[in-house]
Amino acid sequence: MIWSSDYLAQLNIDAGKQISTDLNSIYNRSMLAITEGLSVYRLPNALRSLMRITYRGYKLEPMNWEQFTLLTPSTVFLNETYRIENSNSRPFWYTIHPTNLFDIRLYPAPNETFTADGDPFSPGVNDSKCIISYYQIIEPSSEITSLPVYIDRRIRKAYVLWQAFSAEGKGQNLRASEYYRNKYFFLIERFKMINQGCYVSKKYTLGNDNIPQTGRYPRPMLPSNFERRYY
Amino acid sequence: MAFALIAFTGRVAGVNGATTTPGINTAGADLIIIQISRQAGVGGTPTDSKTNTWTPLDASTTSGGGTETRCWYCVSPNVGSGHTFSTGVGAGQYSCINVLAFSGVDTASPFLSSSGTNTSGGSTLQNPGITGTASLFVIGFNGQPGAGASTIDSSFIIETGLSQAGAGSNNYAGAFAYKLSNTGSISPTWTYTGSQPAATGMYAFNPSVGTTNLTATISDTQTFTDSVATALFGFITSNLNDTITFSELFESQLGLPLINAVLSDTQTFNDFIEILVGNPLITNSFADTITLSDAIVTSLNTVISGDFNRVDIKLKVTNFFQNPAYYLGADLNDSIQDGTDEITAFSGCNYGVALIPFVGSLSYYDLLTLIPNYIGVIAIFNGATKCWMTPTSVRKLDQYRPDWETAIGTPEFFVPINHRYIAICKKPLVQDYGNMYMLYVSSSPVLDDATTLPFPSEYAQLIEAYVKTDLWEQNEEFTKASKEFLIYQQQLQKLHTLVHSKRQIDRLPSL
Repeated sequence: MIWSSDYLAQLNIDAGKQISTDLNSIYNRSMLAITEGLSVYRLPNALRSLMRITYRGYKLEPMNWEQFTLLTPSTVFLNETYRIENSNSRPFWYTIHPTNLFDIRLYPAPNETFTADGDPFSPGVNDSKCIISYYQIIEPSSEITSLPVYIDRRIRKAYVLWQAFSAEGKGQNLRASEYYRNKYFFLIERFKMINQGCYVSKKYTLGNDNIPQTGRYPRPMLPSNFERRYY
Repeated sequence: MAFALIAFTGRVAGVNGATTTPGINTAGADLIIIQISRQAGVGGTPTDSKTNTWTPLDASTTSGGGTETRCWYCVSPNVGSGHTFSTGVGAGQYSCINVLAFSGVDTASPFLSSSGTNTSGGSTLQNPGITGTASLFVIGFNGQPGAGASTIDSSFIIETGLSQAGAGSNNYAGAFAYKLSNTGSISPTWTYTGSQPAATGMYAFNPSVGTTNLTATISDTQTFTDSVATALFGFITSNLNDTITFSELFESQLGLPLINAVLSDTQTFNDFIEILVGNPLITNSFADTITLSDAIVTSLNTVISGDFNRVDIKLKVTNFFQNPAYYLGADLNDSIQDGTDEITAFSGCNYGVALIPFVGSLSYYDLLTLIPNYIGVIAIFNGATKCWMTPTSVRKLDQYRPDWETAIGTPEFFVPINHRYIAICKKPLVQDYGNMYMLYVSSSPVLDDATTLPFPSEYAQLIEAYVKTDLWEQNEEFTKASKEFLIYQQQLQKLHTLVHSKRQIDRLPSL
């Protein structure tokens, strides 16, 4: 045997990590437990790109730290035991913490407490929930955080053989390694095309393609605040 | 449901006495058939390493010269890797053993019929035909020592790796072949050298009644009204777990012009629907539940139908390599399946339609779970409003309403999120709102020898290029594999372009 089973198993784990760096494709949603008066919250470890946060079903607006300091110049946050808040209310904005990329800060700080239980894929109207949507790393332990079967096995195989054939020792074959490297990136690019071009009914246009606020179907004239919420 | 070959093995007795085959992985098989060629009268019953019980198929077929071919079968066997089989023939005897393992048998009534004959001498032997429609035929052959290696009509397959003794040895010239077919009454002919006594026996098996139309993995419940209960009442007997066969009336209720007459006719909704609550509880105040699949796949179509199947590709690749002993039939089958999976996924040339109920208050649908062969969404039709839903993006929905995820109302928009999820806006609140018709890009079907590959006929070389690349890879012929891989990439891109951009060149892109 040229390569030990342990070595190949390690390469398989590495493959998942490498694919995660090359692809942003594993979408997930989860809930944050909200504590009244606490503005900083820890994101899931598997999260890599934060897409969206909703609080009671409403989208929070993202800001960078500079905008945040301009919005609230008298606020500072150093750690969880020492914090100064200047406002408790319903959050409207959030920002990534400047020195800890797994922390987000909500502003204003929430004035109520939520639990993190429930189904984040079925949010209810005005539910007491804070839901985050994000791309995360591949986690083979769960089906929804794995690559689909039509790509997973072959893309891992290409990566493992790319690395195994390049390893020093009896099995080294740099030509084979280069072959599997090319194949790995070929599969990555093709899978990106699936995610980027999966639906063909979209309209190609440079014009204003925004969704009409009045809805698409004919309907009787309704009050101007019909189906709108104010906060 | 179609038969599919899972594994095969065989062995010629190298020494006197019982013969044991190499181990194979029979996982997934629900029918295993053993064929033994031996001298008549030596007796013995085959055994296997998984301690299955073997049922003989009719009487043995014996020639005047004492040449015997006989088969045993086992339905719903114990299976797994390292599965070996032994002839059970006593010491001092010569024998051949062959084993074929299949999935897709009708476990309630597996065996259809048999026929056989023998000759006292000659170079051909025709098996009598079997009347009736079956999906699997297996046929065994035995020629006396001196009969050369045998061949059979080309529609039958003798997998490389099954035992077949040569002429002049003390072994019997055993052979075992199979054919997957939907038509009955076939009468193949064995051809062999020499002029020896020989025997042949053929057996036909019934396929399982399909449950392939309902492919969803998640089930939920639906409450039926009194009027529906009355309609169902006649089908339900006093036992629990009854089955209902839906007629074409139900199919027509699926509606939508996309399900045309041809598709509806071939679409049989005869899958089992389990009645959770039995007859005594079904009263006028009926409020019982039956389980329905979340998604019903109504049809699968290819972008352009091809005219070649797995056997055609195997034949061409085998001719190319000119070394059938080195590249075995199983290797070719695996490569063709892998290649078809990859090409279908990357080119998007296979399409499906699924019926999916709207789920009350659900914003994000996990389509890869609901539709196992789902790759990407093409369009969605709201069956409740009879309108197509509009594809859009999360950013546009954010502009539309900041709380669109929770907005209750008529589903008008959908957003593809990734290869698994779509989001809809708005969402119904009630559980029985109606269904959506999902038009989607589908992954490849599981192939058998008779399956037409879902590619245009001029792209046969695409799958051939994949198979050559794959086989050369496995044998570390990387220079050859690299060259063929380039051809594969170029052909794949051409097919992708054809599917996505060149099917309707009459339409001009517009700003």
